[in-house]
Amino acid sequence: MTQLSLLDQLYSSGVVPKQRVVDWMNGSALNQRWNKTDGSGVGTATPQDAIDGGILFQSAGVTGNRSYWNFNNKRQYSNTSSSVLFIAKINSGDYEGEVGLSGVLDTQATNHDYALGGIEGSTSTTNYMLDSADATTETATAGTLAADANFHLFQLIFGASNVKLYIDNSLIVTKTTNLPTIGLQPEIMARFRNIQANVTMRYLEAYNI
Amino acid sequence: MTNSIYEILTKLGTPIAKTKIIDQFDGSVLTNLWTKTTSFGTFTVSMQDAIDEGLDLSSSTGGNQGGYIDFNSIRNYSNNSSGHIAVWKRLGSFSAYAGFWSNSSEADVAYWRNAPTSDSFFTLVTTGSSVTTANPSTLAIDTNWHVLSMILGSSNVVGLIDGANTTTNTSNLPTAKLQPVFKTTTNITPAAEIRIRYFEAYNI
Repeated sequence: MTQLSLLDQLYSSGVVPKQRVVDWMNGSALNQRWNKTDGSGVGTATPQDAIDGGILFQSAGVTGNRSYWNFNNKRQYSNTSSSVLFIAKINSGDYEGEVGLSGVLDTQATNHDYALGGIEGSTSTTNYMLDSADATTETATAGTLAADANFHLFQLIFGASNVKLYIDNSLIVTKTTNLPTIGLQPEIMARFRNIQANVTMRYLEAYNI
Repeated sequence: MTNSIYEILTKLGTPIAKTKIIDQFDGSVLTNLWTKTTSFGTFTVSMQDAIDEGLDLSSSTGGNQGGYIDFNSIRNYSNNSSGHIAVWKRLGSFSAYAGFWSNSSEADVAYWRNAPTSDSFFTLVTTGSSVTTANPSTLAIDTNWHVLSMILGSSNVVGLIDGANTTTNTSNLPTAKLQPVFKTTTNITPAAEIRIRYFEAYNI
């Protein structure tokens, strides 16, 4: 009997698969593949004891506190040919709650090559946005979709000349400026600006194309 | 364009996916997604260095031995709209269980039981508010690998073994949110042992 593999369903015959990770974001604890770095304060990743509750990522509860979860600078994802797809609940507010792919972590949250989707309070406290940086400059572009307290399916697609943000399968932002220039890793970021950042994750998948 | 696993499991354009998890039970060790608890006596968890043998949970001989792995009361799964499927076998001479529970109090449960000291057949057990229904299937218990699955609905829990042997419980269904569990116990001399090589849980 021929047993089809998952790869058989993902790729045509003869195609050599590239890097991929799936995190189901449930269980007793955040999967040990993640590495937390506290830029300021002590952030937490707390599995939620609720149906479909996911894992809640929070910065510590003081203005300026920020924490990051990534792959400890193991950057296996392409800045020009990859995708990260995640189900997250990121509400509106004057904080930063963003998820995507980033280069070498810079805990001062300056410019370190990344593209993240979510809320970046200095650009908009109400609408979802695409925030990206090359090695020197960060810019964020807000879309027209208002953030809310529901789970949404986010997807960032990294191309050679742009990064696109989709939310619930609709194109929200296409960004062509200040794109990351180096290899990337998954990143979840929570930063307290004037309110505490809450990012609840129910699924994350990153893969090279 | 390379597809995502998400697209295979959940058609894009449909409502976003609910909670799901897959564990292949291989690698160096049991991951930190699971919490191991020794209920009493000696209980060991070990990844097997053998083809297709997965993870082993063992309660030692000597009586009053037992334990389980679960999600440490992180209960993301619905009691009336979820599914559980696992590939596992009982090896020891006492009881092995796989499915969902609310917690170790077992007030709310839906699991398969392979217990030669009490059952002749694989038995689908449901418990709601601490009242239990144990419904035998038509498949005699053994120590072979099987695919044991269940779908938890609002009016029943339907279990399948190897895609057949349908068993339906309609009474004493779980009433509270659930977490996955695999458990072995023995209260007499024979050891209890279960091996698992695949597990998946999902909300519907």
